[in-house]
Amino acid sequence: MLLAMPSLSAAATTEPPAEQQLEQLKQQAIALNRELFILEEELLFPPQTQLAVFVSVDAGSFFQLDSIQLKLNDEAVDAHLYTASELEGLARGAIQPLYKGNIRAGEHTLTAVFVGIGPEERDYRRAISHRFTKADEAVLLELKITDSSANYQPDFSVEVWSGN
Amino acid sequence: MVRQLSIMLSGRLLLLVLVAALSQTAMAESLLRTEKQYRLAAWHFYQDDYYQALLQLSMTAESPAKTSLLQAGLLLQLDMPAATARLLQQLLDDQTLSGKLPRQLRNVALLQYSRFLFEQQQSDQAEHYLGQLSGPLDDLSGEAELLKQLLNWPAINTADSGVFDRLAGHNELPYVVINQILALRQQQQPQPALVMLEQLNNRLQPETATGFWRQLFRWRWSDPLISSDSERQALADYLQLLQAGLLVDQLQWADAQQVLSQFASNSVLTLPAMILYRDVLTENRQIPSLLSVLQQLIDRYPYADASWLAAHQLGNQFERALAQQDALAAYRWADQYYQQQLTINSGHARPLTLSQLAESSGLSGWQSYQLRQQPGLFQLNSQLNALQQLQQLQQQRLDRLKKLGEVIDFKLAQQQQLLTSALPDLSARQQALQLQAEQLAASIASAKAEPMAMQLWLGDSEQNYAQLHVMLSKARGRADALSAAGRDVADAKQRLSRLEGILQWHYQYNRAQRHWQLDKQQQQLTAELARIGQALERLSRLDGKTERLLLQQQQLAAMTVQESQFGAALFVQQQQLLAGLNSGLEQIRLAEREKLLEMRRFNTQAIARVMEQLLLTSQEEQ
Repeated sequence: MLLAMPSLSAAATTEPPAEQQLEQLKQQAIALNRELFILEEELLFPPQTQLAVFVSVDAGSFFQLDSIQLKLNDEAVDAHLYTASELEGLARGAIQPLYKGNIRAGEHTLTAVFVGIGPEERDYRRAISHRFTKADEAVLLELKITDSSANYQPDFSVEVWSGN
Repeated sequence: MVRQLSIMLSGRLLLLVLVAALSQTAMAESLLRTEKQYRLAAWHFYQDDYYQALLQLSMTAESPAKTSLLQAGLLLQLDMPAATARLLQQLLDDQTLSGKLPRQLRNVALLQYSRFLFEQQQSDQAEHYLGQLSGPLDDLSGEAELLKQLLNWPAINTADSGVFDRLAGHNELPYVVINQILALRQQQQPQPALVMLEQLNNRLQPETATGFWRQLFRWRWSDPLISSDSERQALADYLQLLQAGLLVDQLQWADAQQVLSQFASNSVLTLPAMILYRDVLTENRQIPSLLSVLQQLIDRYPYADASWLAAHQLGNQFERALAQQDALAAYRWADQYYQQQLTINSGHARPLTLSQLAESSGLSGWQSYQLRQQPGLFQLNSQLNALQQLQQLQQQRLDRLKKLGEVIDFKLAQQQQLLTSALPDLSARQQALQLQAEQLAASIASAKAEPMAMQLWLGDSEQNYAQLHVMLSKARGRADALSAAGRDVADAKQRLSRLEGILQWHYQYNRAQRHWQLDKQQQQLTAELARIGQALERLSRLDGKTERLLLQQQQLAAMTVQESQFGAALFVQQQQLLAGLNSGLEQIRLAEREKLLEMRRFNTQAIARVMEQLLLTSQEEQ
């Protein structure tokens, strides 16, 4: 007998009401999550004051990320120590939402300090700064870590997202 | 144990294709790398936060086709097959939409939807969508082939020797081949089945990395096994067990015994292997080994039917060997064993509570065993776990709602303070300032009309002239007074006139600069007043924000009510499921009790029979 058959017969029966109800509850949870998220964004992080920072990694040969410290106008605002699963996600193309906060309109400087293992397995620490002007639009910045094949070193840059 | 193993492995066979539908393709990865919203959703996905990933996806309006496919995968991760199927059906039935998907992603959608239809016993529909797959299927070919096998079972091609080359490197290869072996067994062709099994044993591949799409659509049964060492070990064990079964089919008892004697003692398939080994040893009359196996069954699997039966079989083996005294002792031991099991069975009558379920240590060994072994109870327990997760998420939302409520209250208080106190005060001061500025402008205008207005001398640079102007005015006054008193002051007046002429000249000399500076200062003052006016206007407009805040407050209240209703629904559902779980456990307990009582009766009969024989033997000896 096909090994699959017992499971087939179980799976083939009409979905029990409990399962349907559970799906409905999950749908409700998804809808409630969304509604709350929108209200939260509107109240806690309006575009006029919002600053969001993301991280992406397209590297591996020359740099292995360990942690990131984030400073805004020389004041530490966030730090993140990466787990193996987070690094795996980043390596597979995911973008991490690292920080979200509120700032005043005007000139600001964001500094990110990257700590990890660099070329030849050496401890590596590198900081980059980005000056920007906060106006009415939300400021969305992506910290990008890439491999530079030109100098066999990791490359760190900031990309400003637009149209968000 | 047997049933669970059967389900786990059958899950692998039935649903590996269907479950882990998406394989890693360069195309899919590159698409992900170019689309930030999807990459953000992917972050939450890789952190196993599927609700957050869905939320992120819902924020993007780009590429509805791909968004739908990703949503479908995430819904599947949340164990929502019906919602997944609805999304996939919409996607596939809308040719314009699905046409925008890359070929391989469309294939993924087709496979997943076919799988769902197959599980719903809509085989024709499943075949219809499966037939729309467009090649080359690449990594999906193994899954597609497995689904085709299941749709056509038992009429599958068993003479397919090319399968090893065609699906080389695919994780589904073993399952496709095992299905062929099982079909051959069903057709009573154990010999070719054994040949194929040997080939498969030699070709079991090491694991390959799991790609994004594959991981995205991982679901249910496949989770504990897929692409893992445990999966490979379970497969190897299953093949060994299958081999023994095929040898038994061919009545090759000695070979079957040889295979089973080497079976791993710590496999998930150890229990069915021991049961088969028991039967083979019985057939081969290997009594010492058989007694050992029966004893192991009793010791290792206290909740299995086979173990209860083994207790009786021990005595039965002695009886068959005509060792009546030993048989009687064994049967008596079995009687005590059944009595003990019945007492234990009564102890299982206490219903489970939610807190016990929340902590695995809160369950008895028997309860844990049943929740693992019984598909229905396993499902109920999984659903209760899902509800618990929903409750935790809801608690987080309630905390966030509370925080938002505080934020709104704070902002409203701020607004209130601004509108009732600060704004009127600021407006009054601004108006006073405006009035002063207007008065000053009028005063300057009238001073300008005078030949040499005192207040229009420039600041620091003309202070001396201003003082001279004051002194001259005083002197003129005294000269006029003296003249009125009859004194001759004509000379002094003449000199004063000359001095006034000089002062007038200085006054006129700086006139342009004086006027320019005055105009500039007036303009600056006007501009500053205008700016203050605008700022006040902006503040006044915040009055409109109060309405918005009040609206948000209402929205928050409505959401709190919704959450409250949701919480109540969760509670009701939880109680229903718990009742179902306890009812299921009780049914099992009662059925086991009946079984134990029956076995005990059967064993008692055996005791009576052996005692009778012993009595007869004793009487014969006397």
